[in-house]
Amino acid sequence: MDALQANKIVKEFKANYNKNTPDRLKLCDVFCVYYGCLASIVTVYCLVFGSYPFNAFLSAVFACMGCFVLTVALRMQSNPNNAAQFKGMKIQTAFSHFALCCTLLIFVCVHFMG
Amino acid sequence: CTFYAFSKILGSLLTIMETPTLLLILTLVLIYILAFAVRLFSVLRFESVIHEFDPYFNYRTTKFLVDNGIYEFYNWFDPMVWYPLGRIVGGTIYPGLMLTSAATYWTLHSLSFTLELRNVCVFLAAWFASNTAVVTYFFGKEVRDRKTGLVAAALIAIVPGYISRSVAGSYDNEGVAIFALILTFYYFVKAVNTGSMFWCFWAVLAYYYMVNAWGGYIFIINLLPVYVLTLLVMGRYTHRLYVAYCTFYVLGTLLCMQVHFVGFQAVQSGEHMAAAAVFFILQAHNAVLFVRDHLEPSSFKRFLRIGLVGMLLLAGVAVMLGILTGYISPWTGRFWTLLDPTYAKLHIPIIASVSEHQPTCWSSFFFDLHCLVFLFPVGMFFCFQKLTDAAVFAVIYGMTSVYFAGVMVRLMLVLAPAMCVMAAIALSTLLTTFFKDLKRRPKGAKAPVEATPLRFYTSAAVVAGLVFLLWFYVIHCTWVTAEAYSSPSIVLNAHGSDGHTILFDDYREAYYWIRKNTPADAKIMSWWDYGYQITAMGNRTVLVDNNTWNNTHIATVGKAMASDEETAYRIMRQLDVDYVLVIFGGLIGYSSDDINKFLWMVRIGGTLDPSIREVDYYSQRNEYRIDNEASKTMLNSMMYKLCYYRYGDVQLEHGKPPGFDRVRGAEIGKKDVRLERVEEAYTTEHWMIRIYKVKPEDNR
Repeated sequence: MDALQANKIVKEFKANYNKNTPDRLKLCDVFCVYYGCLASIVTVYCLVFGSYPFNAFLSAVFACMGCFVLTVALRMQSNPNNAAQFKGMKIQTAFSHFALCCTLLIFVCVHFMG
Repeated sequence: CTFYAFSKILGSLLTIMETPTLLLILTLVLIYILAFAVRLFSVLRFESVIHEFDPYFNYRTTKFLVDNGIYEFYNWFDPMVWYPLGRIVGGTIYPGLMLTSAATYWTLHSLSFTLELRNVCVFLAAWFASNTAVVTYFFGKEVRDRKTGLVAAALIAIVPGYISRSVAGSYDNEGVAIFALILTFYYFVKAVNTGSMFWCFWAVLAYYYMVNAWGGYIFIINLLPVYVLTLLVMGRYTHRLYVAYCTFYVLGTLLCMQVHFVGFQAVQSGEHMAAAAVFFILQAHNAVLFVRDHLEPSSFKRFLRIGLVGMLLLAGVAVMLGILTGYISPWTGRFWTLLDPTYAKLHIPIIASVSEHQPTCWSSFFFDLHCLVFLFPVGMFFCFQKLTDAAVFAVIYGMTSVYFAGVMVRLMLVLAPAMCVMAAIALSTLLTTFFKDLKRRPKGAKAPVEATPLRFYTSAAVVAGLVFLLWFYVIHCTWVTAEAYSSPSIVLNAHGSDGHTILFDDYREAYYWIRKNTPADAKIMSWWDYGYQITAMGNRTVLVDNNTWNNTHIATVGKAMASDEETAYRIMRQLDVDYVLVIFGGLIGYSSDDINKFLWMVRIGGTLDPSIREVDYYSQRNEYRIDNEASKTMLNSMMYKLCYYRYGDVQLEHGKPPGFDRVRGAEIGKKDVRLERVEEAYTTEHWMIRIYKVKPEDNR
């Protein structure tokens, strides 16, 4: 598998992605990438400097993972291609549920940080 | 005026919900009352008292919580148990039950219903059983339809498998845990059906309640990954599944860690790893689907080849690292016994000795579930006929709980709701199908064809048969509840020769004597079964109790009971023991006494001191005997002496010799038992509890 073919696949993916994805979903994706980077940075920090307040580390990682999962869920629910699977859920409903779950997540994470 | 307002509110609520009919609501109310009423036998026959051993600890902790507040409760260090170690209660219990009782108590008191805490605790399980019946209705409705839900609620209200652990007076974790279990399953299945994060939110909160309530939450966090994997393998992956499971996993694990007893185990112990693994599998699956949406099929194939191999390698390396460095702790003994029933007998005698942990015999299945046992496969068949994601869940829940119920009697409790739902599917489908042919043609043109007489009479026969079956089910359940599951084992009863009831209240008599007649800092040594009751009712320090977290300490007590008097005295002096307590059932024929449990004490003591061998306590002919054929070690053991001191002079009836042990059915071997290091302090009315005071050292 040489680099040329890999490059070609990546370019193709990028082109299709830019063409097919509406802006709203791209926004969700940007957030997801951000959460992923944040989680990696926190993990690297923990590996380098030790995990002493382990609950703080877990709290950070779970906050990132939780927001990632919730954003992906919101993206799925607001994608018009998936309307059949979600039985016609309106985007306002999806967002309100997302906000509710985020509130719980942040509340518990702040409590867990110690 | 308030009544009018109430009916208005109810009306508007009904229009917002799915307009259940009045008949449905009436049936549910009746089921609610029934579930509560059927559990009241022991309270009506005896009094409102807490049964069994474990619940006494729960009652004591609830009392502490109510008296001292939540902060003190979470930080409680109890010096009165496991002398001299003590126990950090705040961090080693599942506080759900206590918090529920305390909340109920405080709510009632704020409304000026000054119910005593003991009564709140006694009736809590029965009340929550009613709540479970209602939640089972919703669960059944989610799995199939409203009819199934209603039948399931009716079945679970009286199923003996659930009643056995939730009767009024049994104040144990399972009482609220099963409610939380079904609630979590209901919300999760609803989340999978709708794909909405709202229901996931409630599922997570219900799961948090479950983690607070019972160690059995492990079942949920392992069942859901199995369910997700099954759906993936069946090709029924939908985005709804991703939303439901991933939200549940992240929020659920986060909340799970808030309970002190679980703490970081949620991300470190092997028992939780299945959920994490499936979480990552779902992420990978979704990522691959995402990439596939944006690539040509040929490029996707190429991507798949490298991407998949790379991901698998990474996952494998991570898991190996985790296990090798010991970061991911291996499965605990209790978990292994669930998968391999013979594990505990070989390795951990304490787990093997608990009667609730024994494998279930087939008759228990019928005894606890009656006709549900054979309606279960019928329900599974109907599930497969109309397969939905929710039906797959019901099938998986049913099958896994059947396996675990077969491993451990206690887990019959987890099987009961699954059986009820499956049987409800079977019953409601059968009744619906066969009722169709019973309808007479109404007087109109557009009527369906009336059934031929053959069909009519066949349907009538089937329906009548099912009604008959359910009639027997009700009779059986009521009989089982009244006879088998409603005895508060703290008070025993028997029938005299002329039919009158004799009550044996020896347990409470002995604990009350301890409470009133021993110094406040006295330490009591007894077998661990009675530890909770001694601290709760006798209010004295004990060495070991039902928590059984320190096997070495229990083995030391076992060794003391099994050794001769001098060795036992040395151990007792070392542990500052002031009083020794044994249970003796020989006079009245009570077979759960310490002599019958003695071999377990020997086995467990033998794990500490290899010189204590079980074979030494058997007679010449390798039988466990207490008469003149008993071995010398047996006759010299502390337990023998404490149980049979002065018993050689007791003559029960004219036909039998003095010193006849009713339980073993034999005359005891050594009648003149002499005790040098302990003296008898108290023996209860029917000789059931015998308390001895440890004498101080001789003057030198």
